Amino acid sequence: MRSHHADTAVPTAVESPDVVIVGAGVVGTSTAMALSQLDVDVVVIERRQDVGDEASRANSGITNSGWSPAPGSLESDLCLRSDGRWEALSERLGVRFRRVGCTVLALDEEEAALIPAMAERCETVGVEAQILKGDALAEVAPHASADAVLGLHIPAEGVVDSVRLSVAYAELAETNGVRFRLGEAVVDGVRQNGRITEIVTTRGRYRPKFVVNAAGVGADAVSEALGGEDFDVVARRGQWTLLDREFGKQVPSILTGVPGPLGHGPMVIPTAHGSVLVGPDAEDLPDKRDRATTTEGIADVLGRCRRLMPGLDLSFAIKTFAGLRPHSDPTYRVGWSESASNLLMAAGIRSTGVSSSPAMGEHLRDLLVAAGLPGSARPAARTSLDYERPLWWDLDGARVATDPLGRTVICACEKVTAADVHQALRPPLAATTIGGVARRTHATWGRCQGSACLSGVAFVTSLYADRPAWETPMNEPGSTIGVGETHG
Amino acid sequence: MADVVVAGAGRSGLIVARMLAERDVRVSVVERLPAAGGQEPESDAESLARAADRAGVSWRLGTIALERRPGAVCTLGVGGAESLDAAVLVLATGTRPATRAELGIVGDRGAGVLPGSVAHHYLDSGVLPGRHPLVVGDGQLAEELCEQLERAGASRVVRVRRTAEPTESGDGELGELGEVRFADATVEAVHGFPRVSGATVRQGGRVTHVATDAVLLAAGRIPMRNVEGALFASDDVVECFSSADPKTHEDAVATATRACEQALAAVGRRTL
Repeated sequence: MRSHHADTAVPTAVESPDVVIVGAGVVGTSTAMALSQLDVDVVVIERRQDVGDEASRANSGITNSGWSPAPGSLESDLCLRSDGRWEALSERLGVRFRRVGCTVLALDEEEAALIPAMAERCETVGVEAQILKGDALAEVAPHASADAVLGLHIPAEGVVDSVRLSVAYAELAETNGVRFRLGEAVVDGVRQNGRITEIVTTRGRYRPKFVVNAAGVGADAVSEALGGEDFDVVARRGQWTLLDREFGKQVPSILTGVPGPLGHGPMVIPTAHGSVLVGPDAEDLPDKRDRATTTEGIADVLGRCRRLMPGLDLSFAIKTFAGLRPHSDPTYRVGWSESASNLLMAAGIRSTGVSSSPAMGEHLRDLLVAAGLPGSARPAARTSLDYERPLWWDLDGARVATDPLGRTVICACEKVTAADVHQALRPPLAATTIGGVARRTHATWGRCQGSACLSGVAFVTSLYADRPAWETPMNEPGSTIGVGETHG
Repeated sequence: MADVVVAGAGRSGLIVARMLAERDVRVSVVERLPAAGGQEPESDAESLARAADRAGVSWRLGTIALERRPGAVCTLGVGGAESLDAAVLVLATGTRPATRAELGIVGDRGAGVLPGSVAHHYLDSGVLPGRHPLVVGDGQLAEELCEQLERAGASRVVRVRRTAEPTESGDGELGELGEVRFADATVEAVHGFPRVSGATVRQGGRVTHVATDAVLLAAGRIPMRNVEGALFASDDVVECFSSADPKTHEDAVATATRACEQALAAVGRRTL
């Protein structure tokens, strides 16, 4: 177990919100959004400088339609409840979503023997699925390997811009009055009579009625600091390669292997924006900050994905990166703590955090209301984000831009305008880092990897902070764009 | 008269635009920046632009070509959104250094690993990317960066070249101006978080760990491809990317001449 004790001065300010949510990943932000519809006071504490900046920023983006978690489990239930809502939700929040479909490929007879049981599971939970082979398989998955002897096609599977999703949940929550405390870490907790009475952070003290632990890979440390249950969260690293939208034209749907003891294995995934993600592998690491890629890991992922899609063309690779998934045994610890009666756990959500997030926030909200949180609606609460959508939302939308900034394209690869960048740096939930601008707009994330626009994005970002340009952070403190000013 | 849109008003874009306009083609030049000449205008940019103007080229400055559609190019610029008729699109959008993925560099994703073009802008704007930076690349951009870094106050520059060293100093030894040079070498991985602190340099079987506070990627001249639906040459899309390094006027003319011929042939096919 790691200790979280920081050498900060004893903070004096004390706040007493109804709910403190620890962690602003996709789980914490969806909970914040659900609670923001109620007339309650909510604070979200996040140790990183931005929301959605850990597991929620480097994942598959797949919205699991509910076929893979064990039927009858809460995980299955929340995925199923979420699945039908993506179209409306993505429209309300300005987050791209596509229902692309997924095909599970059996590459030999042994794997093929496992397909009928998977089809049965789909039927049990009411997710449409077809067992296909030969021409019928090639029709739904023309990019799949001809070696596939059998496939299970799940047409409802979707992909969402999961990076922007957390941001959008948080933007709507903040618009409705939720307070986000970014760059602030939980240090300690005070318990009395089996309840958490006070949370001490690096910047302040809180005396909430309820606490939600949605701290992802840090949920075990947060639980320990608050006097909750003792468990371990392992950071499971996954390595990814992102391929150009141009190659995405050849990837109409998700390809995955038959799940083995270690999960699905790497997948070939069209993203919500039309590019292609290839990955992840799975490696449990002792260092929860280790997001390094390795030559072997990337090569292994690509090799395994070539078995699914022989036409995988690496000349379209834009970038490689790694993400961390919070794994615990048992997984999906969602419910009231056994150690502190006002602590609601939402931890160890390794695989379906994005997929179940629309229903997860509401599930946690309902548990809180059942436990005594006032359930009356917030007057005039907003249910959608109404600022102008980034240009990439629709190139034809360019026609209606009247603001000169909205006619000035900064990132040519991802079609991001100066207006989009300025919007990202303004409330709600103003970005304070270059990475924050990228998560909100996709600027610098295209095929040239910022070689044309990164300096522009950096300097615009620096305009919003009272500090020298070289100190502008990419993401976390210390990740400055430079080391000082030039001579003369 | 046929319509051709030239995307990019750098040297080869300006030359091909003039050539086409002189051959009775209606040419529009679309340039992302507010003036002709491209990102790093050469000294002849103004005279090339004047020549193109005299030949009858029409201009869309401060405007970007967003998307190729049948017979047209959609643009967005200070004047608003437009759909320009274009039987043929000429891509003269310039080049960029190879990305980290293209160079196969793995490891941590800390700050300080930058495209060379970005480092160049940072230095121009008073931001020092590193005090002992590592510059990857063999060409003009890498050379210019090394000079710029030394002037800006970098105390030591590590240079990693893919090709063998043309002259002097041995591998990994101190060269002139405090440069440490690795020839016939590649950067395999970068290390350090939240900012880069080191790099693994490979020379054949030999691996060296180099301490550095910035890794500047200035290798290669890769075409900038960002017009949706026209990323590569096709029946009605012509590429005009000069690849000489260092850049030369002669190569720009040769590239533009080739692109002009291809564009005329494509126009012929389109208008017959």
